[in-house]
Amino acid sequence: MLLRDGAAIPHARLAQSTEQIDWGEIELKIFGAGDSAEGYFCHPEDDKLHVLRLARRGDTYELEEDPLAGKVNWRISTAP
Amino acid sequence: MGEFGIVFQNEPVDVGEEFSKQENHFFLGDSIEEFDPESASGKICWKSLALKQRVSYHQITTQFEDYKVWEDLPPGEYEDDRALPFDLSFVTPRTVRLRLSARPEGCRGEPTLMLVGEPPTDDSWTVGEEGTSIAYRGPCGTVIVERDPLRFEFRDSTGGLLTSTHNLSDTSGVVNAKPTPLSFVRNTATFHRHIAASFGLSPGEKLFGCGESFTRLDKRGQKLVLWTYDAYSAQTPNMYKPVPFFMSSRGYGIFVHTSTPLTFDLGRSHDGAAVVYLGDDQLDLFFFFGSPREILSEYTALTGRAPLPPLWTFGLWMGRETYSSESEVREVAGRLRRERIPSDVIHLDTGWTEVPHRCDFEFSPSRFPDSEKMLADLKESGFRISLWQLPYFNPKNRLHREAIEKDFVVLNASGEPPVDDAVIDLSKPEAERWYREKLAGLLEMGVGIFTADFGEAAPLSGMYASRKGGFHEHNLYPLRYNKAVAAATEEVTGNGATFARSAWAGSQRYPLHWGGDAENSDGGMVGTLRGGLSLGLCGFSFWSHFIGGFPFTTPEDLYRRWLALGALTSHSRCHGSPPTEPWEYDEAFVRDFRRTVELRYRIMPYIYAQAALACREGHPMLRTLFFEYPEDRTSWLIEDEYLFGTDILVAPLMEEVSSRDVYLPPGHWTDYQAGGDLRGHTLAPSTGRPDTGRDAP
Repeated sequence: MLLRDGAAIPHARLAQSTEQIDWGEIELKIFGAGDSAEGYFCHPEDDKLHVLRLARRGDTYELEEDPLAGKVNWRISTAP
Repeated sequence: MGEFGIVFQNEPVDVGEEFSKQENHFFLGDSIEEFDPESASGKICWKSLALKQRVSYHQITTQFEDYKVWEDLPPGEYEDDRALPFDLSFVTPRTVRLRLSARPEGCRGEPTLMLVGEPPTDDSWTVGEEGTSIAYRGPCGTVIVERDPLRFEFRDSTGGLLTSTHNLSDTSGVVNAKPTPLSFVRNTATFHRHIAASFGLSPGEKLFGCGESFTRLDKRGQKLVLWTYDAYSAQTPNMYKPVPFFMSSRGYGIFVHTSTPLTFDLGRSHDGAAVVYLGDDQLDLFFFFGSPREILSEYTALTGRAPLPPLWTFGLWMGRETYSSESEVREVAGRLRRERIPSDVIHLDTGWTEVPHRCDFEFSPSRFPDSEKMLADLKESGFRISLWQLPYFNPKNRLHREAIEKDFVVLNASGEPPVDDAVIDLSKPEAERWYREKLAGLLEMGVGIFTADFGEAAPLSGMYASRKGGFHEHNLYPLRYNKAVAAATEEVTGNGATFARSAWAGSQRYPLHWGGDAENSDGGMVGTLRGGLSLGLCGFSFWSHFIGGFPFTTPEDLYRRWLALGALTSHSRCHGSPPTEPWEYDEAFVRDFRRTVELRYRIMPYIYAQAALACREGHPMLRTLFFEYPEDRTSWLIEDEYLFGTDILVAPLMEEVSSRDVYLPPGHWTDYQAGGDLRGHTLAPSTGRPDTGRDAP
């Protein structure tokens, strides 16, 4: 399993069924070491698809804007 | 022997064979007899010819030569050559529709279930006469109609030739019947007319699609018979889900809008042409210009896109053939939770009714004494229930007689069921409603979803309420079936998700589908992936398969490797001959199983977002490398890797090895487990295991 450079992959904490997934706490794992990354997110509450754009700030990345407007607590990490 | 040489009931009908029968009467596209460039309509002169024997040094072959009707008749009573209608219409900047008819009445133009509506008209195309030809130019391509000799040319936006019809005048070999030119044939026995749409192929051109085809992914050099069939396999040319659509590496795609049987001879009989043989007497062809992504978006704009299935369908499904009692189901659900194996669906296969396999839409009262409470309890603990069912009743089923008495089944010309089973005539609104009511009762009890098994065997000799025969209704039956189950489910639950085996063009609007009864073998696994990728290239966003294969117990190593593939598929379902539950193997297997499924649940936000994206674009979740990297020539050659969504590259282990080489498309890649920066355009080693190698926190 390989990840495209520049991909921002949303991860959830492990749950035993999908209805137990906490969609308010999402880890965005960034793959690659470019200046930017991009991913998608769709909250099952409204099924709206959002683009997530991130820019590198020093050793980490930050969302350029939060399309979920604070509804999700994003934790951003970089893959090894 | 029956019509079309059928020996066995539901045997695929290869209409291409009609074009090699000397006794048939052939009409070959010759020239444009009349044409109005503004309306883009006119008449084609079809030249009357016959296949005649020629011998050369004791080898006999056939080729086209003149044909004359009976000369005793007055002149003009039966024309030798025929002038028959055709027209072009412009649907979008990337889509052109070509219709031609083998009958003077022209194309029927009736609405069908395959299209979501009447195709729009695009006014960005301009028309101009250029010598003896007429050119229609749009922003993404050009169509040139050559008057004499007849030819339709399709060119890209730079003027480069994509393909053109292959006509008798294009013959460049010794025998003028190879490849089959643009033509139609009149069957001598039935007077049915069948059309052959022939398109030239270029050196190096590759072709993909035609449905869930399990054979080599590049269909160049293959012949595919498009007849829905219970394939019992993932390694034969037979298909549960044929789709009359393909795309070319040269930047075009073709959809043939019909439900009659078709044979796609894609450079098999002659490397220089792709010949589409239709059972139909009219050709309604949509031609798409663009990249694979653009082509598929155009095709699914016409035939529909999947709605987003509910989140729980993306969780793990656990089933076997078959759980047979309430206590057994409760035990499996409990054990999944005790073993900390994330899961969302338990499937009850053929054993939920009083007589296993005899589906009468009622839980067995003796083995499921309180099925409603069972459904409620399971839902409370995060499980939905999937129920197996089918649209046929065998003679011992109490519904067999009821359905016949109500006149809800397919009958033959004598007014009798053409086969032993009673097949619900889903073209009859009252029958469809009756069937949906059976499903609705179970949904109201708390059933989550139906596994819509079968549907590939609507009888050829049947007469349907639609006033059509099996020749037109057989391939359409899966689409009617998918639609009926989805509608019943949506009416009660608010979502139309099903889990279906059979399909036809348009069935992607009614997800989900699965790949049938694959062999429990490496070959079954690799064939399954090819089938899924091929179906994905026909606009099916969602697709699943029985992890490990179906008919026999899955060897542990195969199950482990297939699970990794299944966990990175749009929908993950363990099913088949027992055992399927990981604890029936050993502790190490349970641990590996858990880790692999845990990965799926961790990346569920990615999976769900990619699912929504696939729905929006009409694209597959499992996609070939060339779908994302069409400029990379090597990506067109890869059929044992895939992209899961836009960002994850998956290379399953297809045999019992610990690692394999992975071709990396352009760009840079990171191994999910090992990390590191891997450069594209290269081969890299991979373990083929998606799990993180550690237990969940």
